[in-house]
Amino acid sequence: MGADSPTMRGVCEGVLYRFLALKLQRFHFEIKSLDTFFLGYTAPMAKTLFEKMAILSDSAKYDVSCSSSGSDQKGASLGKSHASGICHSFSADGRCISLLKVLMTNACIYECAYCINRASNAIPRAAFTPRELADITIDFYKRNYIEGLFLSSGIVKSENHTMGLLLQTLEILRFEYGFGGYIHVKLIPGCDTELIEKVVALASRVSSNIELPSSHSLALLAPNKTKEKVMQPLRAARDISLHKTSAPIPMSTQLIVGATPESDFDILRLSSALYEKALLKRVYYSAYIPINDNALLPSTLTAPPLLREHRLYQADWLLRFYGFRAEELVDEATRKLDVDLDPKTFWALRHLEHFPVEINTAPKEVLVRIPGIGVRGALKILQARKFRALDHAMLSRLGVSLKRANYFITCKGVYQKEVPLREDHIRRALLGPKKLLQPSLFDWYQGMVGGEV
Amino acid sequence: MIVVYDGTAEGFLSLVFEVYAHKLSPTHIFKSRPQSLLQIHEVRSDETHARRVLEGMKRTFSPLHVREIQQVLLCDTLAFELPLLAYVNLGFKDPKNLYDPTQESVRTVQNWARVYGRMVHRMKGFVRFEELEEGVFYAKIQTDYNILALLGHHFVERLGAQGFILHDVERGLAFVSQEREIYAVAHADVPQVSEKELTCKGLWQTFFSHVAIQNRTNPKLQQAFVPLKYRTYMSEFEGRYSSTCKH
Repeated sequence: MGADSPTMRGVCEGVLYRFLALKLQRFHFEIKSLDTFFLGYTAPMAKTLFEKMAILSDSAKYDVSCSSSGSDQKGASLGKSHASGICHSFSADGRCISLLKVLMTNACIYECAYCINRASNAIPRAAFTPRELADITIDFYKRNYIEGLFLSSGIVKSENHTMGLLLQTLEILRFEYGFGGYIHVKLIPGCDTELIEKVVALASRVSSNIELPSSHSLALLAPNKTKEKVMQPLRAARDISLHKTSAPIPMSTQLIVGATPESDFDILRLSSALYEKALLKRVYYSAYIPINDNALLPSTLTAPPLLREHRLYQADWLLRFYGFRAEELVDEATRKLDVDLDPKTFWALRHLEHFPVEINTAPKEVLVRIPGIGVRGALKILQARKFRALDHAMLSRLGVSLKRANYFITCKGVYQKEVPLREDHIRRALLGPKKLLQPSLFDWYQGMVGGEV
Repeated sequence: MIVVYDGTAEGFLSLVFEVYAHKLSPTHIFKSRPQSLLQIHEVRSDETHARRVLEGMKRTFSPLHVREIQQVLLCDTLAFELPLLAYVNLGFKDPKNLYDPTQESVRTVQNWARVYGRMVHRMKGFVRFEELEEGVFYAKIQTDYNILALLGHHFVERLGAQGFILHDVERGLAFVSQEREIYAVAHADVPQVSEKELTCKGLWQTFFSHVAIQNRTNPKLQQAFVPLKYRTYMSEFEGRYSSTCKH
């Protein structure tokens, strides 16, 4: 590696910074100007660790990724990851906290219309040094607050410089502390492949956020990004993984829902393409929360589309674990998922020719397509019917919910009597008498965030 | 017939032994002697008997089912005795029976084992250590069932050389990492927390409150994931929602 390569420069600057900081402290100087030197950014900088923590966790909270599963670091002296991942707490919005999710810095040279940290926003800025961030991570880990670290940052100076800062933190944790916990690293679109290679070797998971589901919207709202630029680090990481004999590194991305006019159909088609190319393990959906005033975006008074986000997560699960294809759930004709019914019920009602299904003979892939019966329910049925033929009562006792399934199954050839097998009838039975509701501010308080698998 | 035993795992295994040895058919099983004039059969804990039953189980049942039985035995606040006895009987008749979820005792025992497992998994995330002056990390826990051993071994793997103590306050037990042993603790004089501790806790609380998105506030969802009973020793919920508050 040449001395003038980007990483070297990043490290040198880091060292220089620490050296200068020591000198300056001796002379009781203000560190503010130094932050400016370090980041190439001129804005009032937060001073205390507490202020930094407040500002930088505030800035990072719009990234929904929360997984801490499926990684295994070998030969660590502190920390170990857990196959299924562990949630360490849940914040007031009901989202899981498993990683210390802060930005390295919320200073940014980009101007993405939807983002709180865009260059033109007059918000308080702050920066952790790689050392500070690594130390806090270790302190938190020892107290069992977290499973690991989520490393991300605004773009300062250049893509390579930013990636270098994240890599420095990663190296302190892995090499100095022998940390074996989970580290999720955000790949900075547009940085060099050799940096990505180093990150992939040490991280538990990497991600790069597409954010807007179409090139058109990206061009409109994120002038510094293109779809190719965002996908480039993911492709590079995949290629690096494929060259290795070890298991490929898990990757994820995030799509903002409701900021731009793309339909559920566009979004799910994109997700399923990403899954099929074996590029990604996980796509996260984030209901757009209007932060900035912009004529091209929903006004800041718009409520985030939490129910739509929830339906997309349900559909996403169907793609990944239930053998559904995106075209089955939504198509050119119905571009939107149903709001009142979950995507599986929505599909079943449009395909009543497959129903009713006989519980005692249907194979597993048919059982999981019954509304209200999930993977666990299907496994229970398969296990129980080895011993005896099942009837409705036994299904209830096994803990299989019949609330929705009832209209789509027969047990020993018996179909429920109350409702004829017709779309309109079943839909009415499922939805029940619609309550007349006074629409209120709180109508959208029903979002449920997808868990992690 | 009413049967009484001492409530320990060893006691329950001895009870199983006597059920087979003396052809008992219990209708009630108590952990302590009830006030009653009826005839009561008292089971004495007997190590040899208990060991024989355990070996018998390990020989006959699959490891999965033996583990389930061990987990249910640790659910010390449950009246698990009759269903568990029925389950063990079923298994000794034919070990294949234990795979049959249409049997009531199988469903009951499996559900309990699942609840127990869920509690262990949640606590793996919700335990909060504090650093004491001597550099030892200390955590109090409060749980419905006895999960100290499983938790302790989880943290031994995690924290490597770092010394820690897990203290189950209600049960008067403590897991000590160096010895990997559980000790009975009558009462603990815990030293002061280290100087750094307040800073860490403060940073954690700062992080916790700032990471939530205001427009998505959903306390009901939060409570579904972190029920109040888990919050007793979680510093991020301190003073706000202690498990004693009425809703």
